[in-house]
Amino acid sequence: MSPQGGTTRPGLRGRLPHRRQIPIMTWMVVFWCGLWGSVSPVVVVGGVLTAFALVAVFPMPTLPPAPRPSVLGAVRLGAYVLFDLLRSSLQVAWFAVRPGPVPASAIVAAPLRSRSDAMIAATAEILSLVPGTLVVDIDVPSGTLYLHALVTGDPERVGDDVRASVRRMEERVLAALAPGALRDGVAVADDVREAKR
Amino acid sequence: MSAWDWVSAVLLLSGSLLALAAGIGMLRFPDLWMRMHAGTKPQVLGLLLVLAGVEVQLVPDASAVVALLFVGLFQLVTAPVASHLLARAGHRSGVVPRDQLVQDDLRVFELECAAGEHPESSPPQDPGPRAEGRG
Repeated sequence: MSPQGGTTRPGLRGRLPHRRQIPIMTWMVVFWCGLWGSVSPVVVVGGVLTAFALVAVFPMPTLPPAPRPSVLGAVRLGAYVLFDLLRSSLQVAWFAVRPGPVPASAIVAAPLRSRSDAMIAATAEILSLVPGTLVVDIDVPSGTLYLHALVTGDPERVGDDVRASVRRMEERVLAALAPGALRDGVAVADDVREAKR
Repeated sequence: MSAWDWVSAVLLLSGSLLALAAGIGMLRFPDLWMRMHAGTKPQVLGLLLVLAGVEVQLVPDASAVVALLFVGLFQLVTAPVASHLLARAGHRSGVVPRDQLVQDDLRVFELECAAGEHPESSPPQDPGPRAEGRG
């Protein structure tokens, strides 16, 4: 975020936080109250003051207005992630304890369709929790994830299998966080990147 | 024992078993990346199950429940990031042996970057001669 265009200058003087920072500040207050285990007025006021201080001292890049997340999509994504986490945990646990050799692995390039930093981050994070994949590197300009994958089936087809599962997971992430991106093309999900230029 | 105690016991035990399997994986798996699989998946789910087992016992105490929810949430958010950084460092430094890999698209990408084929991308560091003998 450039210093001229940015709404968050370091320093405690002047400048109220931008309204786009209200969500992150709200989250800070909620988290603060959770840590204190209380919502008494003293704790809430302390949390609000702390949130103001943090935003002033450690300004985060303000995200441009993102498409409204879809509640249904988010619930669906959460259910998929939990189910996949269960599956992948059992799979890796089984590989760990079963007799015999550990399966071979590969590092596979998987292109993403969205170029938005937020969408790439969310997809990469979730892919580390689901069966068989681990993010090794990310090339942001081309939107490519490099994933370490366990080879459970045919070694010839590991690349296609991983790319297919990445594609499905990205669709779920987009459906939850940037609904309409799939219908209108991924341009909607590219808002974040465009606004940064 | 009440029914809730049984629920709690099952959750705690299954969580502990998953954490144990993750630990065995750490010992048995041959390289950093395989170990990171063990460190992100069974370990995270194991912790979540243990937390759920404890939550069941603490239910009337809302502040403790919320605190444990935060523990679980931050584990979900940070474990993939930590494993990604370790995995990337392992690849870029070239210290993780790659002979187990059936394919390595990232190495291909590094070589293409070195040949100037991706001017937009910030190339991964060339691991240098140290990795050449191992790749």
